[in-house]
Amino acid sequence: MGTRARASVSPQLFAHWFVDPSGSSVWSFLRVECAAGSEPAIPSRFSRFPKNIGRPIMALLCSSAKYLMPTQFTVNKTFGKDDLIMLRNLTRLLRKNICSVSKPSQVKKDSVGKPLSKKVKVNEAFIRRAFGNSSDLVVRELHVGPGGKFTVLLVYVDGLVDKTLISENLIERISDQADKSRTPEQAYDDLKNRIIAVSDVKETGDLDNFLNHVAGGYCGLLIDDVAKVLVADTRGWAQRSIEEPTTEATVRGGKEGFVETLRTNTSLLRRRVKHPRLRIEECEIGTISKTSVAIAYISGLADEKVVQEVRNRLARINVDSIQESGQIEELIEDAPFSPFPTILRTERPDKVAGALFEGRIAILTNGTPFALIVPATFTMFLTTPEDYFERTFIGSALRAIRYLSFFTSLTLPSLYVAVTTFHQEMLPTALILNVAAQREGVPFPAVVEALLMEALFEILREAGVRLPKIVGPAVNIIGGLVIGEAAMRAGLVSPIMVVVVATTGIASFATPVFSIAIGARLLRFIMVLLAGSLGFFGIVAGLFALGIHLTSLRSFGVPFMEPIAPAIVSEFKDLLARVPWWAMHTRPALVGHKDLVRQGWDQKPKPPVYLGKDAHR
Amino acid sequence: MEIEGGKISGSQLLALLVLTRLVPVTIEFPLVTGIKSPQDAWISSLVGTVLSILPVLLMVRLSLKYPGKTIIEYSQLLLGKFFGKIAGFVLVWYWLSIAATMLRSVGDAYTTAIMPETPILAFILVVGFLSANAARSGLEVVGRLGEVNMLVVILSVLLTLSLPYKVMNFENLLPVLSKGIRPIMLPTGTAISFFVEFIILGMVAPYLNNPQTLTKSSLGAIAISGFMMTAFTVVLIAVFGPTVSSLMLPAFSLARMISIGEFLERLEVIPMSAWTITVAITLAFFLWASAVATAQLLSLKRFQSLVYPLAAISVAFSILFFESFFDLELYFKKIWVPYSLTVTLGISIILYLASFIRGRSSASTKVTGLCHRNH
Amino acid sequence: MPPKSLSKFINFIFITAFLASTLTGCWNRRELDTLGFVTALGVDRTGEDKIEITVHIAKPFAIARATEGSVSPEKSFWVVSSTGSTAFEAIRNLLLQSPRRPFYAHNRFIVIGEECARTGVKEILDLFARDGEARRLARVEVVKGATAKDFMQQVEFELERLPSEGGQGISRSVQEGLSAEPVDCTLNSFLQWLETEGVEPIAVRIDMVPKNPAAPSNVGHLLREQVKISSKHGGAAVFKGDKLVGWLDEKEMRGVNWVTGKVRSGILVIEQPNEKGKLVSLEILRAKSKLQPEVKNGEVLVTLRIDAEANLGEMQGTLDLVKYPQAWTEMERKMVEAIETEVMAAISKAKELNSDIFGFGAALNRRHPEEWDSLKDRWDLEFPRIDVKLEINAKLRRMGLVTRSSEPR
Repeated sequence: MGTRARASVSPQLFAHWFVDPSGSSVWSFLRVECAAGSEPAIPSRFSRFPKNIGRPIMALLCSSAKYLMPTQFTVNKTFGKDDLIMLRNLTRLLRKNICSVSKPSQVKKDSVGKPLSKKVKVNEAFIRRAFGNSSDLVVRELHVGPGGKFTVLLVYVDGLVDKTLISENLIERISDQADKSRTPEQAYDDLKNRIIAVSDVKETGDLDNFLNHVAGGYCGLLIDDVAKVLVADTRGWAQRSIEEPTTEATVRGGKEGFVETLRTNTSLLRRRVKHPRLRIEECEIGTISKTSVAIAYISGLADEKVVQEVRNRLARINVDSIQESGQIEELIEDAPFSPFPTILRTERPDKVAGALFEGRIAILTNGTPFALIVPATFTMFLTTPEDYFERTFIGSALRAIRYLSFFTSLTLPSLYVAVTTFHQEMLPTALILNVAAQREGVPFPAVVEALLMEALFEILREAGVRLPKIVGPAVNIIGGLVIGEAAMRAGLVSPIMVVVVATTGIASFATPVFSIAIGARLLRFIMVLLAGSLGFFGIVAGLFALGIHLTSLRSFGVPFMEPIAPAIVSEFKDLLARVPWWAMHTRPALVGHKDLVRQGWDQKPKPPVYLGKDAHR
Repeated sequence: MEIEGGKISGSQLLALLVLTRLVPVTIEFPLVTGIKSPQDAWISSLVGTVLSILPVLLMVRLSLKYPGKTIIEYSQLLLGKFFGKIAGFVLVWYWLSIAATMLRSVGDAYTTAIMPETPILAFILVVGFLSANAARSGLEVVGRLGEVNMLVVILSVLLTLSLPYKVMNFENLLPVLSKGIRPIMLPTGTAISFFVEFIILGMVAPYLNNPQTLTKSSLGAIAISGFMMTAFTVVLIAVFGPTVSSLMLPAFSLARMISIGEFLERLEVIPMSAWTITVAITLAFFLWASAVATAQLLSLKRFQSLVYPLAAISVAFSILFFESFFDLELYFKKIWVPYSLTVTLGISIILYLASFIRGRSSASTKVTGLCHRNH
Repeated sequence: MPPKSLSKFINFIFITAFLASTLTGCWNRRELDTLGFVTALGVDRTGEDKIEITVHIAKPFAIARATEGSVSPEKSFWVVSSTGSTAFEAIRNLLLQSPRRPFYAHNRFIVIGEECARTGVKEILDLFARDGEARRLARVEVVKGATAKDFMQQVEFELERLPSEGGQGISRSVQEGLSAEPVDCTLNSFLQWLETEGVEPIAVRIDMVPKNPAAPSNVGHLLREQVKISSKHGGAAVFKGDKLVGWLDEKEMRGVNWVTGKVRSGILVIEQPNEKGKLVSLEILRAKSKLQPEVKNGEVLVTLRIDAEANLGEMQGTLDLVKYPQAWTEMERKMVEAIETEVMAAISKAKELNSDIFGFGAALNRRHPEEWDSLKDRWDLEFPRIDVKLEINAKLRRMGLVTRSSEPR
C-alpha cells in the first residue's frame, strides 16, 4: 500500500465553503500539508481538477520529499460552478481516502522559536509589540545592584495580578535587598533564590512561554544582560464568591456551588476528598483563549483506560477558544446528534465528589461554574444529591416523582391528542362529554391546538429566562394567566388544553438537569405530531424509536441506559428507589469496577438493647 | 473478522425469546385453536409447551456442540458447503416469512380493531422501519431493547389477564376433554410449531457472553411463554365461553372487557401497545438473524447493509402474501404448522444426525467429549 | 464507517416527515366536535322487513352550559331514528340526518322492542359483536309492551340529564339493592348464553311508567318539559334461542338469582313469629348456591343448595328478642320458606316457558358430559320434567341497633 499521504485542508476552506457556496468568493486559503513518505497512489480523479489547483496538488502528493514543510498556496480565482464541484470532490477525497490529520491554522506568532535577547530594551520593545500596546500591560523599570547598575523590568497585566503582592513582595524587597549583587547573573540568582517572596517562581528562556505566563497573571522579571527571565505567581483578580448554585437548588445538602475560577473549584473538590489519591490534571485548551481545563478523578477508583480516553479526547480538541464547558462537551461527547446529552454537567461540588467516589471522572473548566462528569448515564440526569442526603423513603419517593414527570413532559400532550382525536372510547363517558363540550367551537384540530399552546409556552419560558429578574415574574403572570385565560375566552383553545400544557411545563421543570429536560421538551413536539397522525400507535412507535436511540448510546464506553438496559440487577439499588446507605455496598458495576466494594458489609445500625443506668427497668 | 461485535447476556436472550412469543401466543395461536372444543385449548397449549422442550433442547445441544459458530457456519461444516448453504437459505427464508406474518398480524390487528380507515401499509412500514433500524444497531441494542420492554410487556399482559376479573367464569372450562383427544391435536401441533421458532438460538448462541446460559435461557423462555399462553387461553375461555372461537382478536376483545369503577374502561390500547413493541423487537431480532445469516452465506464482512433490503423484502411479503385477515387465518390453519415443523425439525434433526455421524467417523472425540461435559 | 448517530438522526427526520405528511390524510382522525356520542340505542323491526334504529346522542354543549351555572332549557340529548334493511345500514343512514357522525363506543344500552325480540335478535346483535367501535359490555334490555322507538323517544329521568345515565343508575341499584334484575346482562353474556349448550339467554326487562303530568311534584329541577314517561328496570325478558318467549317479574327474577347464586342484597318479608298480621323485613346480606345435577333412572334431578345470610332490618310488631330467643330460629325457618317460594316461582315460570334460563343443562354438561350428550337433543322435553331438590340454609346474623321495637305506652 505504501505510506499514506497525510494531507489536510484548512478549516477556512470549509468555512468559506459553507458561508458562500455560490462560487463568487475568492478562495484565499487552500493549504495542503503533505508529509508523505513514498509516493502515494494518486486516484485518477485528480486529473479532473482544474490545472491551476490540480497541478500543485498533484505535484505535492507525488513529491518524494521526506519532510515537506507546511506549504501554503494562494489561489486567486473566481470560481465557477464546475470548479466548486471539483473542489468539493477534492475535499471529500482528502477527507475520506487519505487519512487526514487536521491542523487548524495557528495564530501567527512572531515569537516562535525566538530566543530572549540579552538586552532588556530589545525585550521590552518586543513585549510591547506583542501586546500591541494594550493599556493593561504594565512595564515597571527598577534599578538594582551597586549604584543601580542593572535594570530590572517588571512586566505584568493589570487586573490579573495581586497589586499588594507585587508592591510588597517584589518591588519593596527588590529595592531594599538587591543592591549587593555584583554581576547581573548574581542579581538574577539573588532574585530567584532569596529576594522574591512569592511561593511559585519559574524560570524560562523562551519568550513565548514568558508571554503566556504574563497573559495569565504572572509577573515577569527581566534583568539586563541575562538571557533568562523569571515569572512569579502573582495571580489575583476579582472573582465571584462561592454561592449557592442557582440552577440546582436543593433543600438539604451543602450550599456551595462552583465559581468561575478553576483553582477555587479544585479546592472545593479537595476539601471534599481529602486524600492524595484525588488527581487533578491540568491542561490548556484553545489556541488563543488558553483556557485551563482540569481532569479530576480518584486514582484507583476510576478506570485508567477511561481516564486515558478523556485525556485523548481533550487532546484532540483544536479550537481557538473555549468559553464554557458546553463547548468541550460538544467536542468530546459520544453522540453529537442525540437530543440527549451523554455528559452530565453540574455546578455542585457535592455532586462531582459523589461521582468521583463512584469512579467517574470530572472535567473542570476555567471560566465557568459548570463541571462535566463522565461517564454519564441516563439515570444520573434524573438524580439530585438530595436523593442521597434525605432519608431513603423520601429520596426514593422524590426520585419516582421525577421519573414520572420526565415521562409526563415527554408524552402528556401527545396522549391528549391521541385520546381526543383517535381513541375517544378510552375516556369515561362523562369525561369525554366534558372535554367535547370544552372543545366546542375551538376552530383548530387538537394537534394544531396542542402545538400552538406548546409553542406559546416555550416562548413564555424563554422570555422568562431572558428577562431581567424584576420584570420576569410580571411577564410570566401576564403570559401565563392573561394570555391563557384570554385564549380560552376567545375560544382559541380549550381549557383542558391549558391544563395539559401547564402540567407538561411544570413537569419539565421537575427534571433536575436542564439539558435533558430540553431534550424531552423538543421531542414532545415530534411526539405530538406522531400522535396526531397515527394515534397511540404513533406514540408507541415514537417511544420505541427513542428506545432504540437511547439503548444504542454510550458515554465513554458505558451504556447510557446502564442499569436498565443492559439490566444490572445489583444496580437496581440506586434506580427507581434508593436503598439505605448501609445497603449501598458496591459502586456502580460498570464504572467503579476497579474497586467495587465501597463500604463495610455490616453497616446497618443496631441500637443496643440496654443502654444507660435504667436499662433494667 | 467478526460480523457482529456485540454480546448479549443470558437474561437479554430470555427477554428476547419471551417477547418473540407474545404475538404468536396472543394473536396467532387463538386463531388456530378456536376450531373445535374451544374449552380444551388450554390443555393443548400446556401439552404443546411441554412437548416443545424436546426439539428446543436438541437445538441447544447442537449450538453447544459448536461453540462460537452460528447455525449457518456449522451446517456448512456438517453438510458440506452446498447442502449447508441450502439449509442456511431455507432458514433465512423461514425467518423472513415469520417476520412477514408477524407484521401482517399486527397490521391487521390495528386495522381491524382500532383504525379501520388507515391503510395497513402505514403500520407495516413504520414497524418495519423501526425494527430495521434496531437491527442495524446490532444484537446488543436489540437485546437491550428486549430487556427494557420485557417488563412493560409482561406487566401489560398481566393487567390484561387480571383486570377483567369481573366477567370471568371459570366454570366455562368444564367439561374437560369431552370430545376426546382428537380435537386438541392440531392446537397442540400449533403450539409446538410456534416454539420451534427457537431455532434462531443457532444464530444467537455464539454471541452470548456466557454460553452456559443458553440452556437456562431457552428453557426459561419456554416456561414463561408457555405459562403465558396457558394463562391466556384459560382466561379467554373463562371470559368468553364458547364464543371464544368466534373471536378474531381474543386478546383485544379481552382488553375491551375491562371495566373498573366506570373510569378504567376500554383499555385495548394496552395490548395494542404491547403488540407494537413486541412485534418491532421480534422483527428486529429476526431481521438481525437473517441479515447475519445472509452475510455469512455470502461471505460478506458487514451485515448492516443487508438489513434494509431484508426488511423491505419482509414488508413486501407481508403485503403480497396475504390479501386479507382471512388469508392470514387460512395460512395459520392450513400451511403454518407443517411448514414450520418441517423446516425447523427437519434441519435440526438432519444437522444432529450429521454431527453424530461425523463425530463417529472422524473420531473427533474432543468435540463430542466437550459437549458431554457441557451437559 | 459512516457516523452512526448521523444516519440515525437522518432516519429520525425521515420518519417524522413521513408521519407529518400523513397528518393531512383523514384516515381515522376524528375531532371531538365532529362526533355525536351515542349513549343509548334502540332497535325495532318495522314493516317490510326493515330495521329501525333509534339513538340518543348527547349534546355536549347543552351539558356544559348547564354545568356553567345558567340552567339550560335545552334537552341535553337528541333522539333520532332511521331505517335500513340491516342494522348497519340503518345506523349508517343516521348520517342523512345527523350533522355529527354518531360514535358508538360510549353506547351502554341496546334496547330492543318487544315485537322485535319475539322475532329474534341474532341478526341484530351480530353487528355489535363485530364492530370495533361498539362495546361488548353494553346492556341488552327489552321493552315490555312497546317498541324501542316509543321508549327512546319518551323516556326521561328526573335525576339525570341523560336517560342512559338514569337507566344505568337504576339498573345498578336494582342489581345491588334488590337483586331483581339479571346481573351483568351484557351483550357478552347474552352471546355466551346463546352459544352455550343447555342455557337460555335472559335480558333486562324495562317497563314504561307513565307519570302524571298534572302532579306538581313531578316538576324537576331542570327547567324543561316535565318528565311524562320514565321507566322501571327489573325482572327479565326470557328468551328461547334468540327469541323472546316471556317475562319474569322482579320476584321471579330474584328467584333466578337465588338459583345462580347472584343475589347480592334485597328484602325478604316474612310474618312475625309471635304476632299475627305483623311483618318482619330481613335484609339479605349474601348468598351463594351450588347446583348438582344428576341423572337417576333417566330422570334429571337437580339438587340446589342455597346458603343465605340476612340481617333483621325492620319489625312491625313488638318482640323482644332477648326474652324470646326461640323466635330467632323461627324467623330463620320462615326465611327459608320465603326463599323457597321465590325459587319455586321462578322454576315453575321457566318450566312454563320451557326455557332453561338457569343453565341446568349446562351444569349437567359440566358434571356429566356423556349423559348430557344423550339428553341434549330432547332437552326441551326433559326440562319441564326436571325434579329440583332444594336445600336451603338460612342464617340471621344481626338485629340492628335495638333489641326490641319501641312500644307505645
